[in-house]
Amino acid sequence: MNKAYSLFKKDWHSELRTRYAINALAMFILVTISVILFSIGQERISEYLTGGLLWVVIFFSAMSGLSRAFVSEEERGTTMTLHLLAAPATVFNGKLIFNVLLVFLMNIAITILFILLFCLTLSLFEDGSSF
Amino acid sequence: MDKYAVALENITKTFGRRLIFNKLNYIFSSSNVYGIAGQNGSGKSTLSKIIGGLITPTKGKVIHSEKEKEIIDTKLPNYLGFVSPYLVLYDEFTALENLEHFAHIRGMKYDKERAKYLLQEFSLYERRKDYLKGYSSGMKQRMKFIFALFHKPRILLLDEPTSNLDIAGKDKVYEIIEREGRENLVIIASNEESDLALCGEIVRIEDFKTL
Repeated sequence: MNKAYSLFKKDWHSELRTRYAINALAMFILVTISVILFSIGQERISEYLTGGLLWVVIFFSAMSGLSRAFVSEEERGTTMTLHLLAAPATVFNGKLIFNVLLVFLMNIAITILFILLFCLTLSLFEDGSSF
Repeated sequence: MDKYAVALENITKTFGRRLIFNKLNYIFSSSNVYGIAGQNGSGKSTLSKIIGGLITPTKGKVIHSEKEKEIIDTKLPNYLGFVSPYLVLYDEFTALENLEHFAHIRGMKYDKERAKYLLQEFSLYERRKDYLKGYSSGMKQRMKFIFALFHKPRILLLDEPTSNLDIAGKDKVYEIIEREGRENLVIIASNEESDLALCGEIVRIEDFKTL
Protein backbone atom coordinates (compact mmCIF):
# COMPACT_ATOMS: atom_id res chain seq x y z
CA MET A 1 0.00 0.00 0.00
CA ASN A 2 3.00 2.23 0.63
CA LYS A 3 4.02 1.93 -3.02
CA ALA A 4 0.48 2.80 -4.15
CA TYR A 5 0.53 5.86 -1.89
CA SER A 6 3.88 6.88 -3.43
CA LEU A 7 2.36 6.52 -6.89
CA PHE A 8 -0.59 8.65 -5.76
CA LYS A 9 1.88 11.29 -4.50
CA LYS A 10 3.65 11.23 -7.86
CA ASP A 11 0.31 11.69 -9.66
CA TRP A 12 -0.78 14.49 -7.34
CA HIS A 13 2.56 16.28 -7.74
CA SER A 14 2.28 15.84 -11.52
CA GLU A 15 -1.32 17.11 -11.53
CA LEU A 16 -0.38 20.25 -9.61
CA ARG A 17 2.35 20.93 -12.17
CA THR A 18 0.43 20.14 -15.36
CA ARG A 19 -3.22 20.64 -14.24
CA TYR A 20 -4.12 18.08 -16.87
CA ALA A 21 -7.27 16.75 -15.16
CA ILE A 22 -8.11 19.78 -13.01
CA ASN A 23 -8.35 22.19 -15.97
CA ALA A 24 -10.44 19.78 -18.05
CA LEU A 25 -12.76 19.10 -15.12
CA ALA A 26 -13.14 22.77 -14.16
CA MET A 27 -14.07 23.64 -17.73
CA PHE A 28 -16.54 20.76 -17.93
CA ILE A 29 -18.21 21.68 -14.63
CA LEU A 30 -18.53 25.37 -15.53
CA VAL A 31 -19.95 24.65 -18.98
CA THR A 32 -22.44 22.05 -17.69
CA ILE A 33 -23.77 24.24 -14.89
CA SER A 34 -23.99 27.24 -17.23
CA VAL A 35 -25.92 25.21 -19.81
CA ILE A 36 -28.35 24.06 -17.13
CA LEU A 37 -28.86 27.63 -15.89
CA PHE A 38 -29.43 28.95 -19.41
CA SER A 39 -31.85 26.15 -20.26
CA ILE A 40 -33.87 26.72 -17.10
CA GLY A 41 -34.15 30.45 -17.81
CA GLN A 42 -36.79 32.15 -15.63
CA GLU A 43 -38.55 28.89 -14.89
CA ARG A 44 -39.10 28.07 -11.19
CA ILE A 45 -38.12 24.43 -10.90
CA SER A 46 -38.83 22.13 -7.98
CA GLU A 47 -36.10 21.14 -5.52
CA TYR A 48 -36.46 17.52 -6.64
CA LEU A 49 -35.47 18.47 -10.15
CA THR A 50 -32.61 20.66 -8.89
CA GLY A 51 -31.26 17.67 -6.92
CA GLY A 52 -31.49 15.50 -10.03
CA LEU A 53 -29.63 18.09 -12.10
CA LEU A 54 -26.88 18.26 -9.46
CA TRP A 55 -26.37 14.50 -9.76
CA VAL A 56 -26.32 14.72 -13.55
CA VAL A 57 -23.47 17.25 -13.34
CA ILE A 58 -21.62 15.12 -10.77
CA PHE A 59 -22.03 11.93 -12.80
CA PHE A 60 -20.87 13.31 -16.13
CA SER A 61 -18.00 15.29 -14.58
CA ALA A 62 -16.79 12.16 -12.80
CA MET A 63 -17.04 10.16 -16.03
CA SER A 64 -14.99 12.75 -17.88
CA GLY A 65 -12.42 13.09 -15.07
CA LEU A 66 -11.89 9.49 -14.02
CA SER A 67 -10.14 8.38 -17.17
CA ARG A 68 -7.66 11.28 -17.04
CA ALA A 69 -5.26 9.53 -14.65
CA PHE A 70 -4.61 6.76 -17.18
CA VAL A 71 -5.09 8.81 -20.36
CA SER A 72 -2.42 11.32 -19.33
CA GLU A 73 0.15 8.50 -18.90
CA GLU A 74 -0.82 7.01 -22.25
CA GLU A 75 -0.70 10.33 -24.12
CA ARG A 76 2.68 11.28 -22.67
CA GLY A 77 4.07 7.79 -23.32
CA THR A 78 4.96 7.16 -19.68
CA THR A 79 2.90 3.96 -19.39
CA MET A 80 6.00 1.86 -19.97
CA THR A 81 7.86 3.74 -17.23
CA LEU A 82 5.07 2.84 -14.81
CA HIS A 83 5.21 -0.76 -16.00
CA LEU A 84 8.94 -0.82 -15.25
CA LEU A 85 8.44 0.69 -11.80
CA ALA A 86 5.66 -1.25 -10.19
CA ALA A 87 3.34 -4.24 -10.31
CA PRO A 88 -0.09 -3.70 -11.96
CA ALA A 89 -1.89 -3.82 -8.60
CA THR A 90 0.27 -0.99 -7.28
CA VAL A 91 -0.47 1.14 -10.34
CA PHE A 92 -4.19 0.41 -10.06
CA ASN A 93 -4.33 1.24 -6.34
CA GLY A 94 -2.29 4.41 -6.75
CA LYS A 95 -4.56 5.64 -9.54
CA LEU A 96 -7.63 4.65 -7.50
CA ILE A 97 -6.53 6.80 -4.54
CA PHE A 98 -5.85 9.69 -6.93
CA ASN A 99 -9.24 9.35 -8.60
CA VAL A 100 -11.14 9.04 -5.33
CA LEU A 101 -9.54 12.25 -4.05
CA LEU A 102 -10.11 14.02 -7.37
CA VAL A 103 -13.80 13.06 -7.46
CA PHE A 104 -14.23 14.04 -3.80
CA LEU A 105 -12.77 17.51 -4.42
CA MET A 106 -14.75 17.79 -7.65
CA ASN A 107 -18.01 17.00 -5.81
CA ILE A 108 -17.31 19.70 -3.23
CA ALA A 109 -16.56 22.23 -6.02
CA ILE A 110 -19.69 21.27 -7.98
CA THR A 111 -21.94 21.46 -4.92
CA ILE A 112 -20.62 24.87 -3.85
CA LEU A 113 -20.83 26.25 -7.39
CA PHE A 114 -24.31 24.79 -7.89
CA ILE A 115 -25.64 26.32 -4.65
CA LEU A 116 -24.04 29.69 -5.34
CA LEU A 117 -25.24 29.98 -8.94
CA PHE A 118 -28.75 28.66 -8.27
CA CYS A 119 -29.21 30.92 -5.22
CA LEU A 120 -27.90 33.87 -7.20
CA THR A 121 -30.29 33.22 -10.07
CA LEU A 122 -33.18 32.67 -7.69
CA SER A 123 -32.53 35.86 -5.77
CA LEU A 124 -32.25 37.83 -9.02
CA PHE A 125 -35.67 36.59 -10.11
CA GLU A 126 -37.21 37.24 -6.71
CA ASP A 127 -35.93 40.84 -6.85
CA GLY A 128 -37.74 41.17 -10.15
CA SER A 129 -34.60 41.74 -12.15
CA SER A 130 -34.16 40.05 -15.46
CA PHE A 131 -31.39 37.48 -15.93
CA MET B 1 27.13 -12.25 -6.62
CA ASP B 2 24.31 -14.80 -7.06
CA LYS B 3 23.68 -16.14 -10.53
CA TYR B 4 20.88 -14.47 -12.48
CA ALA B 5 19.47 -16.09 -15.61
CA VAL B 6 16.76 -15.54 -18.17
CA ALA B 7 15.50 -18.56 -20.09
CA LEU B 8 13.52 -18.12 -23.30
CA GLU B 9 11.47 -21.24 -23.96
CA ASN B 10 9.97 -21.65 -27.43
CA ILE B 11 9.24 -17.96 -27.80
CA THR B 12 7.09 -17.14 -30.83
CA LYS B 13 5.75 -13.69 -31.61
CA THR B 14 3.35 -12.72 -34.36
CA PHE B 15 1.65 -9.41 -35.08
CA GLY B 16 -1.54 -10.41 -36.87
CA ARG B 17 -0.36 -12.77 -39.60
CA ARG B 18 3.21 -11.44 -39.61
CA LEU B 19 5.72 -13.71 -37.93
CA ILE B 20 8.41 -11.83 -35.99
CA PHE B 21 10.33 -14.86 -34.67
CA ASN B 22 9.53 -18.49 -34.15
CA LYS B 23 10.50 -21.03 -31.46
CA LEU B 24 13.28 -18.95 -29.99
CA ASN B 25 15.12 -20.87 -27.27
CA TYR B 26 17.97 -19.23 -25.44
CA ILE B 27 19.47 -18.89 -21.97
CA PHE B 28 21.07 -15.63 -20.84
CA SER B 29 23.23 -15.80 -17.70
CA SER B 30 24.79 -13.16 -15.50
CA SER B 31 28.43 -12.08 -15.78
CA ASN B 32 28.05 -11.78 -19.51
CA VAL B 33 27.02 -9.25 -22.14
CA TYR B 34 24.64 -10.49 -24.84
CA GLY B 35 23.65 -8.82 -28.06
CA ILE B 36 20.43 -8.99 -30.05
CA ALA B 37 21.10 -8.18 -33.69
CA GLY B 38 18.89 -7.91 -36.74
CA GLN B 39 17.78 -5.58 -39.49
CA ASN B 40 15.47 -2.63 -38.88
CA GLY B 41 12.00 -3.96 -38.10
CA SER B 42 13.29 -7.49 -37.50
CA GLY B 43 11.97 -7.59 -33.91
CA LYS B 44 14.93 -6.62 -31.70
CA SER B 45 12.85 -4.21 -29.63
CA THR B 46 9.97 -6.69 -29.51
CA LEU B 47 12.29 -9.35 -28.10
CA SER B 48 13.69 -6.84 -25.58
CA LYS B 49 10.17 -6.00 -24.44
CA ILE B 50 9.28 -9.69 -24.15
CA ILE B 51 12.40 -10.35 -22.05
CA GLY B 52 11.54 -7.35 -19.87
CA GLY B 53 7.97 -8.57 -19.37
CA LEU B 54 6.55 -5.47 -21.06
CA ILE B 55 4.69 -7.48 -23.68
CA THR B 56 3.74 -11.13 -23.77
CA PRO B 57 4.88 -13.58 -26.43
CA THR B 58 2.28 -15.23 -28.67
CA LYS B 59 3.63 -18.60 -27.57
CA GLY B 60 6.31 -19.71 -25.14
CA LYS B 61 7.60 -18.57 -21.79
CA VAL B 62 10.23 -16.24 -20.35
CA ILE B 63 11.63 -17.34 -17.00
CA HIS B 64 13.72 -15.00 -14.87
CA SER B 65 15.58 -16.68 -12.03
CA GLU B 66 18.05 -15.80 -9.32
CA LYS B 67 19.95 -18.59 -7.55
CA GLU B 68 17.84 -20.93 -9.73
CA LYS B 69 14.68 -19.66 -8.02
CA GLU B 70 12.03 -18.26 -10.37
CA ILE B 71 11.18 -14.58 -10.00
CA ILE B 72 7.46 -13.82 -10.19
CA ASP B 73 6.30 -11.14 -12.66
CA THR B 74 5.21 -8.67 -9.97
CA LYS B 75 8.73 -8.68 -8.46
CA LEU B 76 10.46 -8.20 -11.82
CA PRO B 77 10.57 -4.34 -11.78
CA ASN B 78 13.05 -4.41 -8.89
CA TYR B 79 15.44 -6.69 -10.81
CA LEU B 80 15.22 -5.00 -14.18
CA GLY B 81 16.86 -1.90 -15.61
CA PHE B 82 15.58 -0.88 -19.03
CA VAL B 83 16.75 1.77 -21.49
CA SER B 84 15.14 2.34 -24.86
CA PRO B 85 14.29 5.18 -27.24
CA TYR B 86 10.55 4.74 -26.56
CA LEU B 87 10.94 5.03 -22.78
CA VAL B 88 9.66 8.40 -21.57
CA LEU B 89 10.32 9.88 -18.13
CA TYR B 90 8.24 12.62 -16.49
CA ASP B 91 9.01 15.93 -18.20
CA GLU B 92 7.19 17.98 -15.56
CA PHE B 93 9.62 16.87 -12.84
CA THR B 94 13.27 17.68 -12.30
CA ALA B 95 15.90 14.91 -12.47
CA LEU B 96 15.99 14.69 -8.67
CA GLU B 97 12.18 14.64 -8.35
CA ASN B 98 11.97 11.86 -10.95
CA LEU B 99 14.50 9.75 -9.05
CA GLU B 100 12.84 10.39 -5.70
CA HIS B 101 9.39 9.41 -6.98
CA PHE B 102 10.79 6.33 -8.72
CA ALA B 103 12.55 5.14 -5.57
CA HIS B 104 9.42 5.51 -3.46
CA ILE B 105 7.17 3.81 -6.02
CA ARG B 106 9.62 0.89 -6.08
CA GLY B 107 9.29 0.72 -2.30
CA MET B 108 12.92 1.73 -1.78
CA LYS B 109 14.46 4.38 0.44
CA TYR B 110 15.61 7.31 -1.66
CA ASP B 111 19.42 7.13 -1.70
CA LYS B 112 20.68 10.70 -2.10
CA GLU B 113 24.29 9.61 -2.40
CA ARG B 114 23.54 7.18 -5.23
CA ALA B 115 21.50 9.83 -7.02
CA LYS B 116 24.42 12.26 -6.72
CA TYR B 117 26.92 9.61 -7.86
CA LEU B 118 24.90 8.65 -10.95
CA LEU B 119 24.06 12.25 -11.87
CA GLN B 120 27.76 13.11 -11.67
CA GLU B 121 28.72 10.02 -13.64
CA PHE B 122 26.37 11.01 -16.46
CA SER B 123 27.32 14.70 -16.26
CA LEU B 124 23.82 15.81 -15.24
CA TYR B 125 24.57 16.95 -11.68
CA GLU B 126 24.68 20.63 -12.62
CA ARG B 127 21.24 20.30 -14.24
CA ARG B 128 19.70 18.15 -11.47
CA LYS B 129 17.14 20.80 -10.51
CA ASP B 130 16.01 21.51 -14.08
CA TYR B 131 12.77 20.12 -15.47
CA LEU B 132 13.26 17.26 -17.90
CA LYS B 133 11.25 19.13 -20.54
CA GLY B 134 14.25 21.46 -20.85
CA TYR B 135 16.70 18.61 -21.47
CA SER B 136 18.14 17.78 -24.89
CA SER B 137 17.54 14.31 -26.36
CA GLY B 138 21.07 13.26 -25.37
CA MET B 139 20.52 14.43 -21.79
CA LYS B 140 17.23 12.55 -21.67
CA GLN B 141 19.05 9.42 -22.85
CA ARG B 142 21.60 9.87 -20.03
CA MET B 143 18.71 10.30 -17.59
CA LYS B 144 17.22 7.01 -18.79
CA PHE B 145 20.47 5.28 -17.82
CA ILE B 146 20.26 6.81 -14.36
CA PHE B 147 16.65 5.60 -14.12
CA ALA B 148 17.75 2.10 -15.18
CA LEU B 149 20.72 1.89 -12.80
CA PHE B 150 19.38 3.68 -9.72
CA HIS B 151 17.90 0.58 -8.05
CA LYS B 152 20.98 -1.61 -8.78
CA PRO B 153 19.23 -4.06 -11.13
CA ARG B 154 20.46 -7.59 -11.82
CA ILE B 155 19.52 -7.44 -15.50
CA LEU B 156 20.16 -4.46 -17.74
CA LEU B 157 18.18 -4.43 -20.99
CA LEU B 158 19.49 -1.84 -23.40
CA ASP B 159 17.64 -1.17 -26.62
CA GLU B 160 19.74 1.06 -28.88
CA PRO B 161 21.67 2.34 -25.85
CA THR B 162 23.86 4.86 -27.64
CA SER B 163 21.16 6.61 -29.68
CA ASN B 164 21.31 10.43 -29.29
CA LEU B 165 24.55 10.27 -27.31
CA ASP B 166 27.75 12.17 -28.05
CA ILE B 167 31.19 10.51 -27.94
CA ALA B 168 31.64 11.14 -24.21
CA GLY B 169 28.16 9.72 -23.55
CA LYS B 170 28.88 6.62 -25.64
CA ASP B 171 32.17 6.04 -23.82
CA LYS B 172 30.39 6.29 -20.48
CA VAL B 173 27.73 3.80 -21.63
CA TYR B 174 30.40 1.34 -22.80
CA GLU B 175 32.20 1.71 -19.48
CA ILE B 176 28.97 0.94 -17.62
CA ILE B 177 28.14 -2.03 -19.87
CA GLU B 178 31.59 -3.51 -19.17
CA ARG B 179 31.29 -2.88 -15.45
CA GLU B 180 27.72 -4.24 -15.15
CA GLY B 181 28.56 -7.20 -17.38
CA ARG B 182 31.13 -8.44 -14.85
CA GLU B 183 28.52 -9.32 -12.23
CA ASN B 184 25.09 -8.79 -13.76
CA LEU B 185 23.34 -9.70 -16.96
CA VAL B 186 23.45 -7.16 -19.77
CA ILE B 187 21.47 -7.56 -23.00
CA ILE B 188 21.96 -5.04 -25.81
CA ALA B 189 19.59 -4.80 -28.78
CA SER B 190 21.36 -2.80 -31.43
CA ASN B 191 22.66 -2.58 -34.97
CA GLU B 192 25.70 -0.49 -34.08
CA GLU B 193 28.91 -2.45 -34.60
CA SER B 194 30.55 -0.66 -31.67
CA ASP B 195 27.67 -1.70 -29.35
CA LEU B 196 27.75 -5.31 -30.48
CA ALA B 197 31.56 -5.45 -30.15
CA LEU B 198 31.06 -5.48 -26.37
CA CYS B 199 28.94 -8.63 -26.49
CA GLY B 200 30.21 -12.08 -25.61
CA GLU B 201 27.34 -13.78 -27.48
CA ILE B 202 24.95 -12.46 -30.12
CA VAL B 203 21.40 -13.65 -30.88
CA ARG B 204 20.53 -13.01 -34.52
CA ILE B 205 16.79 -12.61 -34.98
CA GLU B 206 17.02 -13.71 -38.65
CA ASP B 207 17.94 -17.22 -37.43
CA PHE B 208 14.47 -17.59 -35.89
CA LYS B 209 12.33 -16.36 -38.76
CA THR B 210 11.42 -19.71 -40.30
CA LEU B 211 8.25 -21.59 -39.48
